[in-house]
Amino acid sequence: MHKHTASRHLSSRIMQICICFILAVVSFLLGYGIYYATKVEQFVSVSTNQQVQVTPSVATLPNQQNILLLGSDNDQKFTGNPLTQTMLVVHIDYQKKEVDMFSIPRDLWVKMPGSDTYAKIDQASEYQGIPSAVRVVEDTFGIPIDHYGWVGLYGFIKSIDAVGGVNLDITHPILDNSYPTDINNPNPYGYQRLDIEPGLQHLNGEQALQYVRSRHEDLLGDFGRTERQRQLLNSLKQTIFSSPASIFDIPSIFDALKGQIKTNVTPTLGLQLGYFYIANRNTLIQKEFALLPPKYSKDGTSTDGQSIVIADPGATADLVGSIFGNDAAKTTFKSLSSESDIETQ
Amino acid sequence: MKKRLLLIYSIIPLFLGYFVAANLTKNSQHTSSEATSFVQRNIIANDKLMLSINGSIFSVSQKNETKLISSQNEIDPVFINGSIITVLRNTNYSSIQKFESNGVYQNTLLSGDADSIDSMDWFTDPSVNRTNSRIAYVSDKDKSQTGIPDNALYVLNPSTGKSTQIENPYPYSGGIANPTWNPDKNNSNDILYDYYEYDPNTLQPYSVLHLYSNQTGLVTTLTTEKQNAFQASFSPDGKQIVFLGRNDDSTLVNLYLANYSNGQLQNARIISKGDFAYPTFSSNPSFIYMLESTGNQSYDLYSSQIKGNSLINLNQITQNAMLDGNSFFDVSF
Repeated sequence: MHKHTASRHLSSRIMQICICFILAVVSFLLGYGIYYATKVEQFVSVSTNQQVQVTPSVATLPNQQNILLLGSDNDQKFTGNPLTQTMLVVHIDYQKKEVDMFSIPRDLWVKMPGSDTYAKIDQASEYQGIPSAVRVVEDTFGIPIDHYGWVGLYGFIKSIDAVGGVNLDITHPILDNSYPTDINNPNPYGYQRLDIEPGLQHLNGEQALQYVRSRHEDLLGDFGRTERQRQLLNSLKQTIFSSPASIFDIPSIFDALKGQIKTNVTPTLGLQLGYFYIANRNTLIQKEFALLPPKYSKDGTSTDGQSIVIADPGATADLVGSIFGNDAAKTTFKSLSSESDIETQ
Repeated sequence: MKKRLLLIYSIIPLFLGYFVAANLTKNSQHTSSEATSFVQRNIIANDKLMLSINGSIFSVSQKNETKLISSQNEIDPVFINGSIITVLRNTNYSSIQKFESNGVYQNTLLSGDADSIDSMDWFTDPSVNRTNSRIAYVSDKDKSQTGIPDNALYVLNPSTGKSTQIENPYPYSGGIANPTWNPDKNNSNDILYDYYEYDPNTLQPYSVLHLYSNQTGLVTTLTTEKQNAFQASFSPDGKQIVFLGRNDDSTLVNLYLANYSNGQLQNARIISKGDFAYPTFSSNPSFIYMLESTGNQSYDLYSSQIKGNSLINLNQITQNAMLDGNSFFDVSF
């Protein structure tokens, strides 16, 4: 009898320990989760303040999304709505498990939204900020933009530093004698010299910015710069999704980007995209496209003397159709016709 | 009693979880504050290595590890007759300096400083020949070309201070990098280097290995556009070359091993693929050193054995060194 009571007491004690252990683990995870949730909440509250309405994605096929990535030189000497010197549409086809990146040259000569005037495509954002940049891409290429993400110079540096830098293969030496000193510099109108050595390197945020921003001495000019930007995006994508441990970087990335980016990509969509990439990364089809000369574009000069890029309407329509679907291409290039007053080179 | 249990098993773990998450986040913001350490046993016997870590110069062998020069801007160290040559890198220019073997500054061999930014020069990638009598380097000091600047190849005679231009890409091709001398005494004035070009059809950049023969004064292209070769190094006897080649579809590079004879490469074969940089022979030609990165971590120095047509036993020498293209190391044969 005495033995039976002792046994029951032991069982009860074990049960109590188990409950305490489970309680402790759940509480620990809860605390862990609260920290992450706080960071996400802080980030979202900042982003949504700056959210803009994009055109409903009427032509978007089920299981496809277009995300417009924008980058601006919003340096110290800048006031007003910045130009969007980097414009890149990421087309995700969840059914085909394909991600395409379509780079738009900043000097592309197009019709401005809601106007009869022509200008470089990166100037659209000067009118009404991001909504104008979104609209000019939709109007020019006849594609719906479902989501957008904008980052400035400081946000770019911080986001690279937040993930510990990126490994990049510098595919050719870069010498630039007139790189602007407009980041954390008492003279934002000055210039410095750059010498970026070729080969595999690990770059921090400021070095990565120099690599993707320099364009004065690149034989391919802005196309060369666009190529480097795509290369960096690929490396950044690999960095973020390279290991499960990188999940620990997410709060610090949110911290770093607070106030530095504008986007209507919700954290839920961000997680869905991350999951889609990680789940399919070994089989994912990834393609990159650009309006490279001579097939898709050529250099020209506007009547007011600006160096511009003129797209070939036929070749560009075919390219856009192959990326986004032929329905999109049919409505394309009203803005790229030869109506504007330009000289070609 | 129950309230105390609740406090112990729920409130405390709750705060602990929050604290751990915050701390992990803080730690995940990778910094270079972790001290670099060396695994000296992975250095090949009789080799003495010199490398730049965060701008300071270190000498390390199986037995010794010495910080020779404390600085933040000294990179690209090479041995010259018991002394040290480095590149002092500033924001807008660089200079090639000489130090005694114990790290005491001797003199500046080439200075890129000038009154105006337009007149400043880059001096980089120094390489010393077998007899320590010449230094090859690349520089943009020739300002006669208009338009896009690039680096030309020069050879300096340190005794006279006179430099001779060897090859200057013109019109702009992409530039020159990483010169290295042939250690073979019969061809000791030959220089191997990376030459960057653009494909005229695709306008994509690629690199080939160029060989300058001092005997003939001619430049020969040793590799193909497809190999996209760069960062080559001779074996101690000058009979073999290791070099890297880029892949179109991957960030990983190919590591090539080739035989070298009469100014020609033979049997160039891929012996490994990885996130490699600067493969360099050990004094024992069965081994090479190179920078390597795993995942997206920064680069560390490794030694590895060549066995047949494969690379085996990748052994880490530095830990947390944050090495990159500016940390180019030298091996004393």
